[in-house]
Amino acid sequence: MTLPDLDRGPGRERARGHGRARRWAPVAALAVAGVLSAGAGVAVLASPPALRVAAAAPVVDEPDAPGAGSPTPAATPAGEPTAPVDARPVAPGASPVAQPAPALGRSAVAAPARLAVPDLDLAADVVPVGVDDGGALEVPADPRVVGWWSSGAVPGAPQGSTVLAAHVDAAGVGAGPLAEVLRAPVGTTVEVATTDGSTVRYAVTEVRSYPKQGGLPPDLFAVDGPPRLVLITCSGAFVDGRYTDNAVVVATSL
Amino acid sequence: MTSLLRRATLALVATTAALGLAAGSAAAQPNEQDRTWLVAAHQSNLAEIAAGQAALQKATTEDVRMHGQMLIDDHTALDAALTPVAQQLGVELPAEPTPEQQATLAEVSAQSGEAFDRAWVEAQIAGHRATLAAGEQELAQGSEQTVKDLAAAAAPVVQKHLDGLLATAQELGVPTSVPAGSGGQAAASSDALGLALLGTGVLAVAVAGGLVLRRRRV
Repeated sequence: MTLPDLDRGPGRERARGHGRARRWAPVAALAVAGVLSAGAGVAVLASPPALRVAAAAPVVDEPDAPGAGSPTPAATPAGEPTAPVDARPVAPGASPVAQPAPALGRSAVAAPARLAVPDLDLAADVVPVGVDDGGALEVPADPRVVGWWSSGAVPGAPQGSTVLAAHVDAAGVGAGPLAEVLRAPVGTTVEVATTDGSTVRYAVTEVRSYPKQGGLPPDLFAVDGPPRLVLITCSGAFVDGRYTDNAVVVATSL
Repeated sequence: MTSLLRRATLALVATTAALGLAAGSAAAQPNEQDRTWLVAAHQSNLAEIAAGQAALQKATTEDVRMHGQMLIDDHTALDAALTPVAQQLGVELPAEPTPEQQATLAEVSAQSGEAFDRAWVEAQIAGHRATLAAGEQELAQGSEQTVKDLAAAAAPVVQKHLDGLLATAQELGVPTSVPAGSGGQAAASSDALGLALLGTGVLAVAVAGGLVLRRRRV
């Protein structure tokens, strides 16, 4: 009953204007496709890239402080196996540089030279960086090069954060290694080779993101806390030429 | 108080070293490592004394000025212990820091205000780590005992400076932001896709419009 009705309307129309419709159909199709395509283009341009990390929720480890702003308790847990600073062999006869264990026997002083995540087949050179006048870490422009905050701890130091940061990606270069590290599961081994040839190994304990508006918790950069590796990059939405969040991977010394 | 104690200890080390050399100068056989370390440690002392003086002149914070004075005092004392040993062993000491150390200080001194303090601490942290590493190498590979004694005596002083500098760096301000993705690849690639779609779309509409006009005219 309704079917013929439905059929009849357009059917009549079609019958009446068949010749014209046939002539104009390709033009209309082209115009519609063009408008759709242009619209899709605008939509793609406006949409942020999907570089997201689970928002401020620790993946594992660490009893979370309410508010999730401060990832690590400031106090060092009792019984932290930190080597005493004065453990360096002062006796001149002893030969202290028998390698490798940099945290034991002597205090580590060598800067990080290379970051590697063997399981992900990733490696990147590391260079020392400072802080600019505005307080921003001077991250190397090339996402394939990692910056080490040189006023923080060195890898293998008995205490403190060794802070490494890199751009997550860059136009014309593509994604950097840290983009991949953000996807490393908890427990993944991260290796840092130093300028004196030793290697310090860490295991990923948490991956979090912090909105840039709120800034990063200062204790991520502490030199008096437990020895750990802090990897920082960007994540979140890409708005007005910058990402909205910082992603932070924390790995503890193995 | 502790400074006095430290200087007394260093003076004692220097005297012992000189006596040891005098007593057994025939046996004093410095190797290449000993010579290298004496020169490097002396130049580091000169560099750190000069940096200390720069801090006294330009630092904006009391903490950095205090570090500057400490560097001047301690490295003057360390160098006073080192110089006679080098002389006894016939190792010629340069009168100036290395060109690299001079360039670093010039770069730091070109800054002013808080930027100077930050740059100064940053440079001193790197310098003291290098000094510690050189001392460890001397202890491991040196052969002349009096030189190794100097390296062993310097180590805790340099380590103390480093610990203080790291703490000061925290007070001057840890990085407050990490701009780590200003030229997003993801954005760049989706930009390309978006522009391609937009371009194709506009072209298609234009062609369709052109056809309409032509057919109307016909």
